[in-house]
Amino acid sequence: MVMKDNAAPSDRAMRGRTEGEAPILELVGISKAFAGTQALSDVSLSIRPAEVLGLLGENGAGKSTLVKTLAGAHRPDSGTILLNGEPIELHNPRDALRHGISVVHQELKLVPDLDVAANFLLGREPGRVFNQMSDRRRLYEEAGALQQRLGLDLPLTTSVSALSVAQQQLVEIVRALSIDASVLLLDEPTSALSDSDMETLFTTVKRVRDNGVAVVFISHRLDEIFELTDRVAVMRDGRHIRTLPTAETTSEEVIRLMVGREIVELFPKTEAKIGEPVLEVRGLSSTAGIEDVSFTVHAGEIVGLAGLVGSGRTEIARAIFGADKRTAGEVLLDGEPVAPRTPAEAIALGIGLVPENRKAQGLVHDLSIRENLTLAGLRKFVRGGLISQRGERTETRRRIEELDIRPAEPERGIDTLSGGNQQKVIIARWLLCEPRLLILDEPTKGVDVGAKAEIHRIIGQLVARGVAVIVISSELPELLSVSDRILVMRAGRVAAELGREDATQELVMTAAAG
Amino acid sequence: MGPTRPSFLSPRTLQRHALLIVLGILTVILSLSTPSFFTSQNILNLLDQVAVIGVVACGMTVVMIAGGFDLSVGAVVALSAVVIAIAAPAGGVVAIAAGIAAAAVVGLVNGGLISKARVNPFVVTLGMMTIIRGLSLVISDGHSVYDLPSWFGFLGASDVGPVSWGIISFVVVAVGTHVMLRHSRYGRTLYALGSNEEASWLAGINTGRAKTLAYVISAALAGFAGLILAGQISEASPIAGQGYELQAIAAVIIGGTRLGGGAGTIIGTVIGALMLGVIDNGLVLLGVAPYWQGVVQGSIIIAAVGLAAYEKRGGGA
Ligand SMILES: Nc1ncnc2c1ncn2[C@@H]1O[C@H](COP(=O)(O)OP(=O)(O)OP(=O)(O)O)[C@@H](O)[C@H]1O
Ligand SMILES: [Mg+2]
Repeated sequence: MVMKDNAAPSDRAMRGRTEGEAPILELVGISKAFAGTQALSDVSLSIRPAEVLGLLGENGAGKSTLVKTLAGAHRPDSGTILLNGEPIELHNPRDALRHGISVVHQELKLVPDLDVAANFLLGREPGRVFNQMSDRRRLYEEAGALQQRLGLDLPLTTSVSALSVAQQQLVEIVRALSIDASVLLLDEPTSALSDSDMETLFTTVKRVRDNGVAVVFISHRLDEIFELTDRVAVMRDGRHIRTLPTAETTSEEVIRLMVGREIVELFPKTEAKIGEPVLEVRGLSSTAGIEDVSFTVHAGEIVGLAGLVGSGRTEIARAIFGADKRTAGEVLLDGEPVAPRTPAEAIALGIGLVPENRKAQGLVHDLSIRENLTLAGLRKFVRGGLISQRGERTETRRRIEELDIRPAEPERGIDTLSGGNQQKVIIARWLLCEPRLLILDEPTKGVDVGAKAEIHRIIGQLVARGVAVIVISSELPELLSVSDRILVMRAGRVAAELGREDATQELVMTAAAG
Repeated sequence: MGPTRPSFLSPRTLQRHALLIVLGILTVILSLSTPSFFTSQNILNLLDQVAVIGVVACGMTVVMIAGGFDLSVGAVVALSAVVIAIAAPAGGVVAIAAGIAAAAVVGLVNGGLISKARVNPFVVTLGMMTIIRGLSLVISDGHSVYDLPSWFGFLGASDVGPVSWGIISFVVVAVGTHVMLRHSRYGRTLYALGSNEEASWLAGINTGRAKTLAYVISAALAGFAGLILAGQISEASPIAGQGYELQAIAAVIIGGTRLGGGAGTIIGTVIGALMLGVIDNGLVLLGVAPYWQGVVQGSIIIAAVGLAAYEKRGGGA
């Protein structure tokens, strides 16, 4: 591919010289099938030193599979991987590391009971095995130096399980960057990050790139792709469709390549009739740190909760849902005071919650799509003490179709689905319960453009039926376009309330930052 | 995209069939090498022994699918037998109800401590094992009760045609727990709980109650096994059932239930129990010193778990 180098010698064009350079990593005709799914078919792709290559594709397009293949976690069925022109075999993750290939996987792979410093340097702790104790100090020194270089300030002695998802994500990134790698693979590293953490990550990625490292960056957020990458490679149905220099393409073109058709509107907003109050929250406080929160959500209304990570958005949802203990205030549902003490009680009242952390709080990993989908609403199918298999299967198939969950195989293990499709299963779980009030915490995290539009369409259908909806999202453009009203949270309190007409990105950001 | 319905060759079914195949091969070898093995007398004997462990193992399966563990079942076998024997003068129904109820209370305490006080199941049930063993000795004053009323031997010693009530009870328990696990809402709850407790709770499952109930089921079934055992040996002994907890766990693990929960079947457990029974019986018939039984059992457990881990890594797929 030849880059038309007619623009002024901008930063990007300067780096255009890498166009001619030999690729550091090359995939030739890589294929990989799982039982029944061709996850990768005949993918050829080259990755050059000192560039950020964006990898784009719908949920299930094969991006993570490609990354795992390069990480030594999957063996390709056929094809060759060339490193600096030499074919290499990656039998396990250690092989990949030895060849200088470092990875941040989509699903975090930390050791929860070890502290941050130990996770940074996992498997590469200083000192010898039998001399660990005396080397503790060196471990913390090295870990400290490491994160300082990256401009981070994580609590080194805290165990990882006590960190927020965003912090865990950062730990994983630091670990990947700490390896003296020549190829860095980042599979949706930003899906849990706040804006400021994202800045840190971007600066860091640009710095390693300028040091000659080849970076592969996966994200469903096109704004990030256009900010960070030098070239974009688009995948669809396991195939590599095209690779384009980022400067020469547009988001419309990229979406068309990804989806194979035009998507008219990213966030279609359907107008619904706004009715009586469904949820009234008055002076609510909880053990998890929200204080004196009051707001109302009406039938047919979508209220967006904005704020920085840790500002109390999730905690409001959990307090209403009975997952955190309320310490003051009251909650009214359809005018009646309610006080659910557990999620089970909240569900019985007609409240649903799509939780923030899909892996830890949503998915039941050993079960199938069907079993995950019907988990919260299983009661519906019980006849004479037993689950009516026919009822359950029919309903599952209907929901799979409704949300276009792929692959449409009810008995498939949930863990074999791509992230976006797993998310759709969790949403389907709550649609099945037909709630009065549905709270969606980061519902489109890791979800591709098409599926995102679909999730918005589903939310639109819900409110059209008179359901009250609360959406929590870190993606401001999304929140601005779906919400009828936005509450901005700061430090556990409602800092501002903005109507649909008045809300702008700047206003929300200002209110959130205080 | 091709179909991926669980085929005959999927790892799970393969493992189940592998177990059956191994069991079949064992049976054939033993039938050929010892003429006394494949006689109806010996097979029924073997099944009688398997019945007691099998009933305990069905309860253990329930607990282990939910991600738990129950070491107290062996002691509960003895407790229930002793309680029933002592309460016998009050009449059969009352005495049996008292024995099973005593067992269920043990389960309730186990479950309560594990789910409410969040003490580790290993610690709770290990402690409970010694407490209950001690209690059985206290209430029986350290002696076995021999002069049992005639109804006592009903489950253990009387037959329907050639088959004892003990074997029939085992079949009923196995079918009952299978249906519960596979077709009831509570059963689904147990699998979900063993796989991801937090997600289950957020999906509206009363995880504490579900867990507690699992321990109650396990203990009550152990109590029921105590009744069968006492009938079989015409003796209610406070030291009966020693080591049954480990044998039951062995049967469950060999049967493919995942340590840590979330996956497992009663069918697997039944095959696991049969396998242990056939091996024990075969070793005796072959004249191998009984001391070898433990060695063989342990090796099989390790092999079964190793096989499961190998398949999970995708090596067998
Ligand atoms: N272990 C597995 N077993 C069976 N199928 C799998 C497995 N892993 C992935 N797949 C299938 O392979 C396909 C590609 O999945 P992959 O995770 O690579 O998608 P992705 O592009 O990363 O999607 P997302 O954006 O949602 O993360 C999907 O159809 C998925 O269901
Ligand atoms: Mg992925």
